[in-house]
Amino acid sequence: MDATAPDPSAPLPVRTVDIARPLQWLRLGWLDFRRTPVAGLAHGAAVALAGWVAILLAPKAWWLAPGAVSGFVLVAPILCTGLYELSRLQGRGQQPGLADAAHAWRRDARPLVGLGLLLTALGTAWVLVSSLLFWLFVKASITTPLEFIRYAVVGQGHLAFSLWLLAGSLGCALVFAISAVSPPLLLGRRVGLRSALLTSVRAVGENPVAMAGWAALILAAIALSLATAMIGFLVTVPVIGHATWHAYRDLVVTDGVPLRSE
Amino acid sequence: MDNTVFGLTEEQITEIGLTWGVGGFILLMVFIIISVARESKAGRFGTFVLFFVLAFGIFGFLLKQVIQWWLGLE
Repeated sequence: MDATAPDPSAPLPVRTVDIARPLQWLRLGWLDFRRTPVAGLAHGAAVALAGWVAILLAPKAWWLAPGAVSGFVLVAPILCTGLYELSRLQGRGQQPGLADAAHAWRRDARPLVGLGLLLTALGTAWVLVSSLLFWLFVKASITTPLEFIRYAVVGQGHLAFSLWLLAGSLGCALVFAISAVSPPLLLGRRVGLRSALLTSVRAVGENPVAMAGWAALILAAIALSLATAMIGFLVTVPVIGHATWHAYRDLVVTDGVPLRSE
Repeated sequence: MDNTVFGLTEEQITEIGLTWGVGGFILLMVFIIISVARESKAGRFGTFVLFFVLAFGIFGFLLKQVIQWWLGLE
């Protein structure tokens, strides 16, 4: 251990990686998924189920739908906690199962719960802002989702749609940056929430091109999963979840930071 | 001129609310991004955000085209 104790709220040092590195993370994520397919599919099914609930809500409350569909994706990094644990144990040569994934939540994971609450709050805020925007400012009489899409995409709602997209992309960039590697870091090492979030932003800021590519891969996976009526989540969630663990291992320098208790 | 508040019609209030409200929201987010970038000592976080927003915009535009084609809208 280093004699000079580092500032507990300061970001950890990070590494720069090759811009093609995210593809390697995906490959490693796929290999981890192949080793523990049941746990992976269970995580994917949970996300797919949440997506279906959002879709089922759409006809009843169309103004809630755009925010809900995009908002539930925000909480995904926390839902994948069990997958990080599986990758962590696999990295030590163990053969973990679904029970180990659940156990991740019983380790001393208070900051992780804090991050979960933060992301949930941000997701909820996003749903509310989206709803307010569409509900208050959409004047045409809209009763079906199809009318809503027609209004937003080609009708007078065009400007609102563009602004919503801009606000959404900024918020999404921010959430991606704070949650890119912070959940696995919080799971693996004894660091504070603030330090983990800033470390994540730092890792992204030191690798802008590689991480923009990584974000694009995740976005493509989400789009694909939504386009296949959520079925795609069964595979994309575990692969990206496991890959996130490998991204964390590549990007964050954790030397000297105490391990979280088993 | 029927229903007006402070001489503004409902439509005008909506338009002002939309542009200023969402504009302010976007500005707030830009400030948060700047302060987070400074505190994390991240070198090129701004570059990332720029890339991200551009890519997202292109993605949104393509999505719009796909939706238009899919629903047969003009």
